Amino acid sequence: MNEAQIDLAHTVALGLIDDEDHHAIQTIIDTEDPVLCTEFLHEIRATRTVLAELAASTPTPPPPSLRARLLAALDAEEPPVAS
Amino acid sequence: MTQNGFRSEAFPPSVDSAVTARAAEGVELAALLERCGLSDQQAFAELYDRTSARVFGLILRVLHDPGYAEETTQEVYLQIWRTATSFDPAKGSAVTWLMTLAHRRAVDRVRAEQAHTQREVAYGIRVLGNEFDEVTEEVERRLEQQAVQRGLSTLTETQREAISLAYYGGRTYAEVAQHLGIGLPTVKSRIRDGLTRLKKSLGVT
Repeated sequence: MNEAQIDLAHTVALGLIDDEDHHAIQTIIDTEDPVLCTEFLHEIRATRTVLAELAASTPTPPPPSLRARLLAALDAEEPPVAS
Repeated sequence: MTQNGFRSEAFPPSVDSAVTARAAEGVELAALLERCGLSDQQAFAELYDRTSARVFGLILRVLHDPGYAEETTQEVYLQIWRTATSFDPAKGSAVTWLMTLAHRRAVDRVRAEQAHTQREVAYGIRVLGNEFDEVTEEVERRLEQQAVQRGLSTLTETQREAISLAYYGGRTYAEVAQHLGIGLPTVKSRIRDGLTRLKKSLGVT
């Protein structure tokens, strides 16, 4: 992978891709170069992992009421029970 | 352990422990997600209890507003519930999947607001690298946080700033360059080198 491709993988992992990036990603896919594609994908996944670690390193408990509200919302999501 | 071992910064021993703890937690959370995919509400509640502080913490960091952060956290968990079957452990850990979903939704919201108001929000440039003294009850989590902190301490201030603006601020590389008044190649190299250092110190290869 060249530097631009590494930067592109980082952009994907950061969730910041634009149309131009889409085009560049398509170019990589179109090469059908298995080594390049594997390295590119690996770089995206490794970067996502490290960003998730970063994101997870500053926990803040949500308001306690959210839990009950969410669980109530799940009931609303369930398909209706046939009676 | 020699006295010198405590001071060794080249290869801190807790990186291995953090990697092991991460793997063990990953298996458990993946099992919970699988049960969520089968509409198991109890599994969902447990998943929520174990991960919501991390998810909410990230979203709050991006949005800076507890009310919006709570709404967005609710949306994220409903999305997790609806799409749990699409989680694929081969592509990354459960935590990575959760945090990626949370980050995406929070940034979408921030960017929608930016587009709406065009206001310049003072994103906490210093958000990285502080507040790590928050002690959680889980030893594993603490180990991981230490590893992250150690990783962050290997970054230069400018690398930290660039990653923070992009990740927590949801800014494109071009926007980061504009914000800092520096060239795009400089932004790219700061983020590239910073992420490379973080990966190395967190044992992510």
